[in-house]
Amino acid sequence: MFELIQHPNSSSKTLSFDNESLNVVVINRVGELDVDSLQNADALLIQTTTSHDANELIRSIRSNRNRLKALIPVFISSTVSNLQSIRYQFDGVFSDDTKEILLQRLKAIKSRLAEMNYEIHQLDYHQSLLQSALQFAYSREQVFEPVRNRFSKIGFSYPFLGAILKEEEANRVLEILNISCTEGYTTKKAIEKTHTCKKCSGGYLNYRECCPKCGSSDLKTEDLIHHFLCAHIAPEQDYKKEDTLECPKCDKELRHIGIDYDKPSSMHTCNDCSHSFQQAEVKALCIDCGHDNELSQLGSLEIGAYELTPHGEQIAKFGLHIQKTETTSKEIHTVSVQILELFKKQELSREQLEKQCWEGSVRIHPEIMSHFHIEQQEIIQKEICTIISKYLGKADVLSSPNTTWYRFLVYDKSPENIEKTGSIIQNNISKLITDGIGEYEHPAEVLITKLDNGVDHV
Amino acid sequence: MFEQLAPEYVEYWFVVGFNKFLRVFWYFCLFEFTRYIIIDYIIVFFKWLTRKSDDEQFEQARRAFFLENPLVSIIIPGKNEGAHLFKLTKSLAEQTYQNFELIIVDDGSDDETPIIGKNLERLGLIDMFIRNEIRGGKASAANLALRYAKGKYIVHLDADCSFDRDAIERVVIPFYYDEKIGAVGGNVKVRNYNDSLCTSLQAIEYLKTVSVGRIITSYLGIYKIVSGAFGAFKPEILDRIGGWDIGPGLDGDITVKIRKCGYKIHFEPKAICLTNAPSKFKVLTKQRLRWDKSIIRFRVRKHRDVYFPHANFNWSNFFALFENVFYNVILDLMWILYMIDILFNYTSSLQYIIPMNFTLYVVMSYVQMGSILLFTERRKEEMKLIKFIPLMTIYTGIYLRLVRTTAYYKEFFFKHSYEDVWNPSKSSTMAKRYGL
Repeated sequence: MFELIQHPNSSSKTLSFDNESLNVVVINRVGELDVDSLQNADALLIQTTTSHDANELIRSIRSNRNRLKALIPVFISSTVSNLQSIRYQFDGVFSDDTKEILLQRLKAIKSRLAEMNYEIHQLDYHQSLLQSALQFAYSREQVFEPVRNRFSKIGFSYPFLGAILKEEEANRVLEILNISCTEGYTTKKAIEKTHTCKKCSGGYLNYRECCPKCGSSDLKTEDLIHHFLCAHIAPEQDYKKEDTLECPKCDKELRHIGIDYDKPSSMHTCNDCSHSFQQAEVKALCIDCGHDNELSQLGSLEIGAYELTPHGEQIAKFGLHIQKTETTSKEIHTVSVQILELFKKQELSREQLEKQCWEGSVRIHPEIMSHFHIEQQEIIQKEICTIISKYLGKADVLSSPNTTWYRFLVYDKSPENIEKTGSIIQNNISKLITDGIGEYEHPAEVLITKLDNGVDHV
Repeated sequence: MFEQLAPEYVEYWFVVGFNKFLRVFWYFCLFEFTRYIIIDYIIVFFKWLTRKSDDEQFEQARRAFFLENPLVSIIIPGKNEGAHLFKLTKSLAEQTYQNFELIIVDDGSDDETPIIGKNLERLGLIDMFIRNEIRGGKASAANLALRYAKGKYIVHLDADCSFDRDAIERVVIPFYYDEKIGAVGGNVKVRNYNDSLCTSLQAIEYLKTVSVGRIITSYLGIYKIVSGAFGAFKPEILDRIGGWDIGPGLDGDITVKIRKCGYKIHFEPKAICLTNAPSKFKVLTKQRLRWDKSIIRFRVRKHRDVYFPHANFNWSNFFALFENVFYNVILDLMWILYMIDILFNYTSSLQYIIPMNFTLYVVMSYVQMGSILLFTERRKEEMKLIKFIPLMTIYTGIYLRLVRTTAYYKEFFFKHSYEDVWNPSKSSTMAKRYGL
């Protein structure tokens, strides 16, 4: 079972399960969050005093650019005050009664997280958010269900995205989720409908009756009294005489409703402009921006629950597929392998090689490339080609059979120069790779040989 | 020569002499011919003489009216009138005078009227739409509109009417003739005169009694009914008299109330409103029974004080009501006496009397039609009605007289108007109790 133990070398506490080494970092205050340490944690337990602090923490965690950190399971302690309003943002509420359940949940989330590819693809902010949201839903096997939230601009929040985007950006949460639905990553089931301000899209509206002439809500409503005997009809105030009702037309006292008089309807009078009317105009005042909306102008949002489709699950696991950009072979002047072979053959067939010709190859360690998404691999391939071509002459030929192998022919270079060029290419490519994924031993191997029947390594 | 061409029944009266003719046709000569031919044509002649000064007076008043550009409140009370409302707003949108507010009061409609009215108000085609969930009667609906009207003049309309482009302008301008004019009646004509024989006959009747008849009474200062379909009022006077009282016949009632306050009533023949008349005699009979009962209820009972000397006695009011009661009620009774007289005293001459009587009335109708065509602005259309004129003798002389007599009988002896479903019983019960 879970036991809360003090980490010997840290002020933070961790939870352990029997002898299993599950590292659950306990955070009691906002300042305790060390984002770097999240890499090694299996989960977090938020145990702040207030829900506000807990909310701040979950926002910091979920909005981390590193998805490994952003998707980490986060639990909240049942001791946090006003927990109900934010519990949907957490993977569970930690208490003595829920320890076992949370452990199972933690294991399940970890297992699903392990299935996913965390490469940073070439995604814009919204695509990145969508990717993270899909991964979150997949790892939690969760449907994005709307939760009523008094502080959300549209009155509803969603798990994960609601933690990342601020309450006033609730519309963007819906936009992202609707895109996921349009793209077929999720299916949507309508749950609720909400009206929003025309100006700021806020959903916190105050509906009230207003004067159709001046828009004021300072209205006086009075019953109309119809005196049967003389057919006089006017607001009740006209009939009032001390405690009695007296007809202003015939001076007779109105004693009995239904016998002497009735009240066929009522009228509103605006206290600002004195306009009298029966049909008050209902307007919606936006509490956020103060814009007074006519009902016909209000926006309408459908609040739904979004469930991952099988396609969405694939995207969660392997990343969003981005439309391939046009091949830039022209820009980097690569040729196909067949062309390169043709050049090589022609060069070898020349009877006299006045100047030396070199054949080079660059091999990237296959394991390195496997860390990257296919699209990212293509980008890296392009960058490596750019690096190599930068040090080649105009007549030299470059080809890249695949993302880990680059071949080139260099004409008219002395052995010293070609050695220097090979060294520079190796250094630059190694730097490119280590900048991207961190330190790696021998990320690229450059081999340059003289183009003749013999082998002359540089 | 004439003796050879004239039918035998005409020749008979040449033979028996003029004295016998007068003795037999005293009713026609004394009341009908004098009132509807002689007086009409005398006044037509006078109006022709003063036509230039009348035109100048109108132009002067028109200039003053447009210079002031007063807000006019158009009020339309009604029940289940939703189907007419959009057409009505379109008709009003075409008016030459546009500084008006349109107030429509829905008196407890049980059809789509509230929905239509509210939508038109939302679209800005109606300035104020007031819905009474409980029906209170036309008078209360008109009073409610009056309560919220802001205009310097009130124009009361029926929802099923349409108007000539200058109708609103023309119905208000007469207020600039004379400060003492308290109300102006518009000219109401039949729009659906081609629908049936019933509507064609009513079209002729309206031309005779409304278009020409009211020109005459207005000229004589005894005009006593501003039609509910189209009339204009000064709101301060309406406030003073407490607006409309319980109907049916509230338009005639309010006109008398205004007269009794010392104001003049003017008829404007060129302020033209078209309305749909009942196309079936059964519906027409119901309508006329209701209208005719109101003569007894209001002219004979409620406003009987105008016939007797008192501090505010006014001769023109006396004559206005007396003419109305005399020509409708008293002559109706006299007609019965006349019939008895003829039947008993001239039994052997009936074969000459009946066709001659019919001939006299047909000729009189054609002569009357002449005065109509002198005044009308729709001469071409109204000429089409000439073929129906021979039938007017039966229509007015027999049909309308029978309906009228029945209505008087029911109202005089049984106060039948208080049971009319046109008005809600809660109001009628109270009105009957207090003799209103």
